[in-house]
Amino acid sequence: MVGSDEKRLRACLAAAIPDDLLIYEVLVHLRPKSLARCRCVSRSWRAAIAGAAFVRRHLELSRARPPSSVLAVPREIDPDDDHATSTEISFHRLPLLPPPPPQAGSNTTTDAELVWEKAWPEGITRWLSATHCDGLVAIATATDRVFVCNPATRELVALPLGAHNAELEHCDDKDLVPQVALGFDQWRNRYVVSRYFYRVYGEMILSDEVTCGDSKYCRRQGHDIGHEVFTLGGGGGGESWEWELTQDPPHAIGGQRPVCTRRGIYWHSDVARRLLMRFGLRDRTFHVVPRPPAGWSCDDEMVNLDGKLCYVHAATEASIHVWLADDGSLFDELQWSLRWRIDLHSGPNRICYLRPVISNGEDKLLLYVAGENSCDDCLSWCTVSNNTVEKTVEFHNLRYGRPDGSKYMVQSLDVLHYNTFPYFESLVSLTACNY
Amino acid sequence: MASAGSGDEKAAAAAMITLISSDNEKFEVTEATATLSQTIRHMIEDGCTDGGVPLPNVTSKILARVIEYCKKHATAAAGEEGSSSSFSDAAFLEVDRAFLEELEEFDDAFLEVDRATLFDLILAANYLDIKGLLNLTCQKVADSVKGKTPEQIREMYNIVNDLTPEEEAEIRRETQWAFE
Repeated sequence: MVGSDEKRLRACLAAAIPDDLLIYEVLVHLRPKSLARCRCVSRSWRAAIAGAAFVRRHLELSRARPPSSVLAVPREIDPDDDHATSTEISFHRLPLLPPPPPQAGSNTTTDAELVWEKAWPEGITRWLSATHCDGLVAIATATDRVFVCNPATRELVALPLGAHNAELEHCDDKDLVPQVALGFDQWRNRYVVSRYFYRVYGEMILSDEVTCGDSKYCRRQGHDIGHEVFTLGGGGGGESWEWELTQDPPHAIGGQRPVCTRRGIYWHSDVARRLLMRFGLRDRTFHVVPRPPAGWSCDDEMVNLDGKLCYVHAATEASIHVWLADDGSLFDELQWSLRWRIDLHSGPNRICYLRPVISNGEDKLLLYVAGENSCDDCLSWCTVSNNTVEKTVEFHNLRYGRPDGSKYMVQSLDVLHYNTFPYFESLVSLTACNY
Repeated sequence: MASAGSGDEKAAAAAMITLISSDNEKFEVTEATATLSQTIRHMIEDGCTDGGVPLPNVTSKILARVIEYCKKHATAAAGEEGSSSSFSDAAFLEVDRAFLEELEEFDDAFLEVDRATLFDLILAANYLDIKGLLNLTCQKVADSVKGKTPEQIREMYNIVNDLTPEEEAEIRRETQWAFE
């Protein structure tokens, strides 16, 4: 009867750790893939893992962990057809390892982990723009279609079509991807996607007054712009699975990336006006808010760094000024402060574009550094105090994973890596409010 | 820096707390070490630590280990406070990094215990409300669950499968990718 003795012994050990500790303190440390298996253990485990208390605690822990990876959505474009589609989309986790010792040489490869490759037979445009919030990824395409995805729990949904954006057939930029924003509305406890659309694109008049570098830009006349939001998870005002029209933006919206922080979604106005607009998540209205007292460039960006609103002024191609504002308070005006100046001119390779991805404490920033060709792009840790950079991921030395476990490297100029952003895995559902 | 440090140490040395394990063993610790436990911090704030703090749920063997952890991490917390004002100083950053590495090594070594001890540490960390220790020990247990099948997990924790075969088949169908 050794078997039953063993069982009794095991029962003793098991009794040493109560169920609530095991679930809410131990299991919450697991990745969604392990948790998917844990759902099969018993009824109480299945119920607990699906519950809001568990999902929220899991999210809290993931947020608090120092970032160990970023997510990349590489896309191979067709140089002859900007509207070409592909029947799959893939998400890869790029590890942020410390740089290898110099004697190892510069040709060390990095392995990305395939999080998910999803087939989509209807096709997804090759040009796209992706943003992240709490494990969810919103994907803007070169059409009116917007996708939302949780790669860790393998959910991808095409949101129903909203209003048609007349910009799509009017714009000179053939690779235009109208941006969308994704954020968490703490007042309604829901994730929201926000998009703009032109009812009437208006007339474009080439203007000498509006320039960025050597390029002249058009002044827009007679446009009519609208804005709509999609509430994920249902409930909270909009029970239905459709876009809700909001107040119209006070000005035309430009092609630069918007960003969502706690208080709202920040949009760049179009080139001619150079304003910043906030769509407040609580009151769902637009306001023009102060820009940082910096210059302006068409390569200016906004990002969310550690929950802070961050305006990145592209002073030149290889130097940026990073302005931060705390938008935590509902009633205060935005107070911008210049946090970092980064100048990478002295490096050996030409740099075309810089964007901060992650801020790691006081002095380190992870930068997306774009070279002349997409295969020169890299992620580098920048130590701001002495203006030095150490490459952590070079895209031409990166091995992406395939579903069958094999690896491939991309040296083609036609594969774009710029959709690389901070990410952590979460259990947040797209269709049910499980948080 | 040195003179200020020794002053603090004197003040801390003056405030000693006695912890009493379930088997009646007494442990003298500094207040800085003891207050890593939120439970004990609240007791100190309420002024009910005179004559020692009885911890009827924690054996002397486990309490000794918990104190070992708290001592190490209390110095770490003190070090962080001291250096935050001069973070831009590269020398300080170096020291910080070396200390963090040492702390990580300590944590790794600390976790080299058998399963029963690990579980007891979790219970103690939960009871004493020591967030860092609870996270550390629970992460270790979570790591041991990571690659396991539902059957193996049930066996490890002696859990009875009360799902009907149909229910289990349905979950497996929904999350087939997780079993590949």
